[in-house]
Amino acid sequence: MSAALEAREVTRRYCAKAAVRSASLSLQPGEIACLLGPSGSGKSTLLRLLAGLEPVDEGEVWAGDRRLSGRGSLVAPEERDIGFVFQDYALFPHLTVEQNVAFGLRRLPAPERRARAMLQLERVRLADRAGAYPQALSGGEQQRVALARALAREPAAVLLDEPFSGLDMRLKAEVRDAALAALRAAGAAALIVTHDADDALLTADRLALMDGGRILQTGTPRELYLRPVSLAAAHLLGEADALPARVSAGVAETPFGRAPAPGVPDGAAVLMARPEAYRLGDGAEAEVASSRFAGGYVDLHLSAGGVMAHAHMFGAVAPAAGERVRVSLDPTFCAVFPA
Amino acid sequence: MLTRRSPLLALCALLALTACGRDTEEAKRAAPANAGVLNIYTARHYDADQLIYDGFKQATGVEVRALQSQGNMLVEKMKAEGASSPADIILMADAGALWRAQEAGLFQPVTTPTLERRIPANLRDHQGRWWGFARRARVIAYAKDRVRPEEVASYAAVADPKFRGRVCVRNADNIYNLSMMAGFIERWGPQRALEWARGVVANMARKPQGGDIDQIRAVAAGACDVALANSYYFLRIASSEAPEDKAVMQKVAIAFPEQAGTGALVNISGGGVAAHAPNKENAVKFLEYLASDQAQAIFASANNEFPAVQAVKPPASVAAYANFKADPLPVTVYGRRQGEAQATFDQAGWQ
Amino acid sequence: MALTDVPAPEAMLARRAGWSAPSPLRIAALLAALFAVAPLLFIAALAVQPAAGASPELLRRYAADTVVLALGVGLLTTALGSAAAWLVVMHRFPGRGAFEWLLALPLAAPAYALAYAYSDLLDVAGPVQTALRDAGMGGEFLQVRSLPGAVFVLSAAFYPYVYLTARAAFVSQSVCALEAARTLGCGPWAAYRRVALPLARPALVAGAALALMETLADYGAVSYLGVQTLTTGVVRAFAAYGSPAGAARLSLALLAAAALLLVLERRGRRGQGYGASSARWRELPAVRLRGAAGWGATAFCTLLLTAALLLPCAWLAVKALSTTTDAGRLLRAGSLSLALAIGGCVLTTALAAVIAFGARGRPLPARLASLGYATPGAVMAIGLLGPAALIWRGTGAGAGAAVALGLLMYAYVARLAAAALEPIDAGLTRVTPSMERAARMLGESEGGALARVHAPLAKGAFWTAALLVFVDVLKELPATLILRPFNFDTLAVLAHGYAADERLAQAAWPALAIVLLAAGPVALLSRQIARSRPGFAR
Repeated sequence: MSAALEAREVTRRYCAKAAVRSASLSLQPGEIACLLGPSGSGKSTLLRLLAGLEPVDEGEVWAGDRRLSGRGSLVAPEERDIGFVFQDYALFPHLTVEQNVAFGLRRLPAPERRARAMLQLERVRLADRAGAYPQALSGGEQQRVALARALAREPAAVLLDEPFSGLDMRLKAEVRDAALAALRAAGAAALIVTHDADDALLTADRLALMDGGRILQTGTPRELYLRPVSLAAAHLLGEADALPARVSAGVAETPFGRAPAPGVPDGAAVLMARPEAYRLGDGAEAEVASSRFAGGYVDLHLSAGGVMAHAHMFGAVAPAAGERVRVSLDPTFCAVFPA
Repeated sequence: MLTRRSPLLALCALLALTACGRDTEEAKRAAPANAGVLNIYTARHYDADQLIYDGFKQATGVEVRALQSQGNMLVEKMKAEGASSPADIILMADAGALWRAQEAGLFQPVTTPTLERRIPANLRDHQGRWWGFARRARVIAYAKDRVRPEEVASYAAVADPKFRGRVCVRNADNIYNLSMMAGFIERWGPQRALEWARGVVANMARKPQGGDIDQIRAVAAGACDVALANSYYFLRIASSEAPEDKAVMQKVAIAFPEQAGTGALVNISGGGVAAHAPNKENAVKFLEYLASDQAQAIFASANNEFPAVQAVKPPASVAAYANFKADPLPVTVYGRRQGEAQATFDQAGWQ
Repeated sequence: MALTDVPAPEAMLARRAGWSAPSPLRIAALLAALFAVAPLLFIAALAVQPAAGASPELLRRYAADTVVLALGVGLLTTALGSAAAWLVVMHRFPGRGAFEWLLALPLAAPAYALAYAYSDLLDVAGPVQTALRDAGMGGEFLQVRSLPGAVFVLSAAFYPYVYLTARAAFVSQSVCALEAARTLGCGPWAAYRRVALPLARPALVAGAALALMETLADYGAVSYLGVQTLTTGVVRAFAAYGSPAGAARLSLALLAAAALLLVLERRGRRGQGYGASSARWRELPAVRLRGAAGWGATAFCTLLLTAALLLPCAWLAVKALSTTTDAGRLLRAGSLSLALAIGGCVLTTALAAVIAFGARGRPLPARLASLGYATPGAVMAIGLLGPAALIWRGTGAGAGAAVALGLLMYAYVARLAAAALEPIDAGLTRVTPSMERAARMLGESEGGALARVHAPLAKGAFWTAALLVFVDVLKELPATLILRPFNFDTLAVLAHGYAADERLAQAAWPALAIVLLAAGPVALLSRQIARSRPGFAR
């Protein structure tokens, strides 16, 4: 299957510094993908390279069998059939919501233009604000207008730059769900840039991790969360303890218990454990350094052999601070890397 | 918003169109080189000149098109235009400016028997590159009740210590002052001219300021007792019917200096035919017209200048002052020594 | 103005890299800027030639007087303009509504007209000093023909620049900041001094820079008042020493001063990110001034308006009515002035738009093109003779009226591009880089984005620019004087001719006609600027 949008080994330099290094990424039709990385990791730059807002220094950008960017050639952004939702939404303050959404539909006759704009507005549940000016809308509403505007041209792919970063927690969930629904309804491939791991996990069909201008790993959220290729990749997607371990015969031994380490050579190693990896019951002995009730789970800090671990425990009863407990590791939530 | 403004837009468009229409129309008229037009670059800023242009048109049928500007700017403009300059005639209000145009090679020598007969030799270029048509004298205006005429019988008197704090003058960079100073340098030598300027600076009642008429009014108002001014400004006040001007005349009189010696310094308005004149024939006709009785009378009656042609009798108001002894100094020195004159003023601290 | 105009470093780098080869528009902008700055290049070329000229001692005096004049005008215009703006924006007092736009009107009066009026009114032989003398008092202190007098006259003529920019800034200020200041224990005066004024600083600097550039460029008023500045020195070098090279050399000093002003203005604008786009605008809470305070405010505004416009115009009217004028000539001059002003404003605004659009994010072309504003008209005219010579000699038959008019338009463009660029540039800061990118992503080409996003958003700015240039062309003298076609006397030319011939009463007619013609556009301008609130489309 040919990708809706694909970056092949693209590199982008500002002065001497490379913001994106030899990054490859593909976006399949209809798929919602997330590009996750800390700020400064080059993810927004990669997005602009895909959009054609900047030329690539090396590598190529393709859409299906059409080459969009490469050495010495650049299809202008307006000719790429790509939608873009900007971090600051970039709504045109001199146009109404409806006019904003219809901005890219200039070639259609007026009635159809209007119908399409209204359809998109209905999908983001803003049909009643069609006549308002953007300044009169809340942040969440502005975000939805920006999405509707990008989708109105029915592009093959939509790129969203930190679409939920300006919103507060409660609003964010609501807007995110609305945005996902609209994206699914449109059937367009979408690439969402975010620095928020929860957003990425909840939203993405497929996920790419980026740091230091490089793509670290791509895969499903589950793969990436449970089977990171490196400690750095693991940290990008959420909390992870790096427990000192010693591997012998494919098994890693830590102060909190053991876990299988297939293919890892014998000797010193690091075991990555998610907070969900710890199980109470039998196993290694540890001391509870702190215990806090966090609603759905209990947040524990455990100490064993001079090593601290951070665990989320589920269940009605939980040990109190100062108690001694026995702990084991659930291998599903662990990964072992050579030291 | 746009619709509310559209009347304004329409007005703009209309005006732009009319401007263009006029423009092409004039360009068309300009195109034939010899269709009875005469192009004048003039540094004279007097209303009287329109009367002269009208008179010339009546006499010859030639239509006059004038561009009035500052003398030095006109010189630079003509230098830039080179051979493609449309100017036929250059008129200047000062001999220094004429000299500068001459030095820039902007004139062509022209002479006719009429011109030679009517314009005195010291008021024209010996090659006929330019001709003087009207004269004015640099005179001393004084307060009748505080100064006796014999006290201001010479330019030197203005620098006399007895007038300490009693003299009004205008700025040094004024062309009338520069030409006057150039004349002094020629007559007296640079040292005496500088001493004179220093004497005047010491005598100033106030910082140099205002125009010639302002100096005369200041004398009338009692701010000072003695001032330097061009004759025609005084004559304009003298011939005015306005009550405030009549009041000035009650208090102020003028003296033509150096009547016992070399005579009062005289400057001229004059002009010549441009080097690349497209309508040379008309230009020569115009010079002759300027020397005619009719034009000479206009200089005198409408601008209170003294006619260059001795035979022309000015109106009574001007004639009353016309019989003075003029310094026969060739007026070209005003131009030649203009830089020196400015330097002398600068050195004396005359701002 | 509210949106940040300093792009994030990353965005700036991205811009430098461009999205492809330089677009035609960028090239056009650079060419347009070069076109506007060409006369100045010619002056620079002239300046390296050997020249006679004034002594160094004299130059020092010119420079010193210029600095004093500029400082004086800068301080006085800033004080008067910002105080007036603060009063009318933040307070309610008798007559405030009328003063809000009336206070901009003095922009309609050319500085030289004020100089004519005041020097005659306060002359030693004028009515005021005569009356004082008759009353047995000395009136020597009322000396307009002096450096302080020039500071007064130029400040009266140019304070509206500061007033207009300051008013726009105060109107657009976040109420929140002011309210925060009040809750933190600042009284109204302290809130003004510690919050409003610093927030408005960029606007004040911009307004003062305009006023100062006009001051540097002014010849008519300063020379009429007999004050000797670098500008009059330029003309003196040219006229008395016959040395265009000497004049050019002095002009370079003026240009350096102008460049410095532009840099300062740029600095002042940095950190203008305040008043973010998301901030909701609210009606400003006006302080009602009661009793003496209210009437004091009214008196201040009345006095300012009287000194800068009413009194000098009234005196000119008195003088004008003491004579008659050739109505036909005046009418023709008026229509020529109007046609020139319209042509000049359309062309200058168009060129400024090309520069502003093409050079958005890249200040160099705009800065270059702005230098002309501080160039005295006479210098600009000398500079224009260079390119003009090419045209005249090139076209052979030279100076048809069309060529002359073309050159005159060129002069206006070169001299006034800055006046148009300032507001357009400011207007374009309402368009964030991502808005432009959004338009591109929605299928618009660069030109399409400009037409559908930049142009409508900066529409108010275009009107501001056009009106400013219109008024400036109406008042312009030196370039018109030398470059106009035959038989083409504008109002300014007429006024100057009569003033040079010391016929003030006759000069008063065209001078007043200029004020009347300019008053309408200035009123429009005043309204336009008042309405352009950031974040609001209309």
